[in-house]
Amino acid sequence: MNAPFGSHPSKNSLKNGEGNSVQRPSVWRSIVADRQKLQTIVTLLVLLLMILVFSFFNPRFLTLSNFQNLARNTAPLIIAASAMTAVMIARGLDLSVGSVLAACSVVAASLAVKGVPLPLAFLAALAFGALIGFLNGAIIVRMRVSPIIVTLGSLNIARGIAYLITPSAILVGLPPNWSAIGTAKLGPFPMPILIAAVVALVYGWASQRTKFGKHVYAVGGNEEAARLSGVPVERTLISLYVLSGMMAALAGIVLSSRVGSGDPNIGVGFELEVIAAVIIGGTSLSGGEGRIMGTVIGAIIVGVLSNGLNLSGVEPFWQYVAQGLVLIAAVVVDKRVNERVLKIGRRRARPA
Amino acid sequence: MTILKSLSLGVAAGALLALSAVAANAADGPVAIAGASFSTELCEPSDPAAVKDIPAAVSGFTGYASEPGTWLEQPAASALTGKRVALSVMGLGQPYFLAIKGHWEQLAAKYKFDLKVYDGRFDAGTVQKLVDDIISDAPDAVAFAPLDSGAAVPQVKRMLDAGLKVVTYNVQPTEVVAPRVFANDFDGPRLVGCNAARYYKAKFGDKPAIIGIVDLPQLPQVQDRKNGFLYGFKSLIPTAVVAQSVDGGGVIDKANPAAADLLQGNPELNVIFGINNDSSLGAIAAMKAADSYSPDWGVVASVDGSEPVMAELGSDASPLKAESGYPPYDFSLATFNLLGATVEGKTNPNTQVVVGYPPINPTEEGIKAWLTQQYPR
Repeated sequence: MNAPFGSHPSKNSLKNGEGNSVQRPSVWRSIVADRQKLQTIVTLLVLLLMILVFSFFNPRFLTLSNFQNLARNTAPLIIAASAMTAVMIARGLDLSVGSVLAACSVVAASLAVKGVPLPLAFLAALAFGALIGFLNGAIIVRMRVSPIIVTLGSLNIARGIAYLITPSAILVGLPPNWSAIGTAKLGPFPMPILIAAVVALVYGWASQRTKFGKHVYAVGGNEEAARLSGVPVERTLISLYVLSGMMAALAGIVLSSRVGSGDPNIGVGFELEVIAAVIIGGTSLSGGEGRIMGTVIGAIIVGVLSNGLNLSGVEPFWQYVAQGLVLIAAVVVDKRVNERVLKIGRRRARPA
Repeated sequence: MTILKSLSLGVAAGALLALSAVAANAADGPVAIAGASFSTELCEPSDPAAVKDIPAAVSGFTGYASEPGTWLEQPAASALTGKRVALSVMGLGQPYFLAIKGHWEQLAAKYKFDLKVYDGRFDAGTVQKLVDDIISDAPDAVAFAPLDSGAAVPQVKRMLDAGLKVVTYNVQPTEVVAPRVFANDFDGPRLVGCNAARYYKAKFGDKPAIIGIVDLPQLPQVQDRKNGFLYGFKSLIPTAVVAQSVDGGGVIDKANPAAADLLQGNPELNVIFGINNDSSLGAIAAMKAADSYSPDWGVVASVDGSEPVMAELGSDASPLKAESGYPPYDFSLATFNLLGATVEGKTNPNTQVVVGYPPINPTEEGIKAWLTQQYPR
């Protein structure tokens, strides 16, 4: 089991096999000690490389307005991916996020159309997302059904509910302030990215600094060992799915506010983007490892790729190919550099 | 009481003032300009060289000549009465197909036939399965909406081999297999292009037009829409250039970021064509986020005519000022009549009915007339 953000054995020295103290350069000590941190740094380098390349093809890529555009586009992804990271660290998976996003956006929009004040409509949507998340978690944990099957089922149920709620496919008559969250700015920062930043910071803080965060890593590392150590495994897992449902709802609110409609068709395939962002960010598919910061960078990579290819004028069909290649390359480069640096680190750390 | 009366009078006076202000604004506003420049006539190229490289229509390989007949009128009686009818739709998630379903349900109630609706969910696998289900159910007549024109050929053949009476509507199969209803996907959007150009010239004069497309490049039918629009627009403004096409996926949450990138990468853009309403609404949302949402920006045009776009079309604040409808009522009625004729044995595989893309006048009356007939509540 990994500690939330890597273990920190000592300040400036580690013991070798014979118990002798070995002095190492602090950077390498830190890298060797915290593989997850290294992975995040490498992912960040991949992102910077992509930014460099795209800014070479179109000077408008490196402008404030484009970064605002990018921030608005990636915000829903960051929100949902932060929650998914915690779920995946605990060795779970939530395939329903795209449909929950759509259903919750339609719940909020349909209430808003009926004159319910927006804060209440949004709260209702969050509660609905939490309810679906609770049902996901309860079935997975209590009935011991695979999360893939359960969340695949709720993916269909939530999409069906979204269609059932909207009698005419797209809700019309939304109040004028519906788009406020999606389009407002605080200084140069679009509101959606501020919401996403708060979500990511809270998740990052919780996973690093709280008992709940430690429980999440413990459950993902070895569920049985965690249970024997007194970790409330079931409660932890159900809480994660509840939070995942709520964050999908929040992403839905942000997205539908941005596009200015309540549409049951939104979010199709969103779960795959979310999972891609989480994996690019270094979270292990087998659980127990992952960082929220890595996921945030992973989500930005997904957004930058799409934005950069559009701004570079790449033909749409080639964009599919390029997106696939770059995503694979990002993960491969990330893995290779990670391994290489670790190897160097270990060599330097070896006693003379 | 007196206070209430005074309040009511005050409110009424305020409302009248507001209405007169809107009316005064509308008299020379973008809606009025679009209404004045609007036409139901196609425009011909002023400079043939400007449109010579635009590909011709590919989806209507059987031509666009329609079988003579009163296909768009409700008959006194129908051969479908008392029959079991299967209706497939591409996906009920879209307002267009939801309206198709609604119109068919009204027809079923009026002409007393048993209707079963099959939802293809915009998924090739689901459509394949629903074909199997229809064959198992063996209805008396089938109105089938192919998802893919190529895959539709064996699907329709299988239903015909099973002895079913089948007509297709919307997307046309790539081979002549059954009677069909489809639209002229080139000329309909071409008319939108003409009306967008008429409005652009009336509002912006000789200002150079730079076009962006929120596209869905995978579908031939959509490529006809795009090329039709360009043909129409460049017929009246031959100097117009296409800066970029982006893939908006045909759904609003994908179209929105794609349109945002389009605007970001091409700040000189002043014309956007969305290949459907989700694409144009995604572009509108992107413009709002980028603070460029204004009728002074240029013109946004699209096809479909769904209700959310009508609010934009009729608003003086919106740049969306050219729209042609993809008419669910016309499609439903034409398909209903063609299916009835097929059950009576009055058609053959070559029988085709071509439905138009009615251009929608952006005035209040024009929008009301369109919505009342095609998208009744």
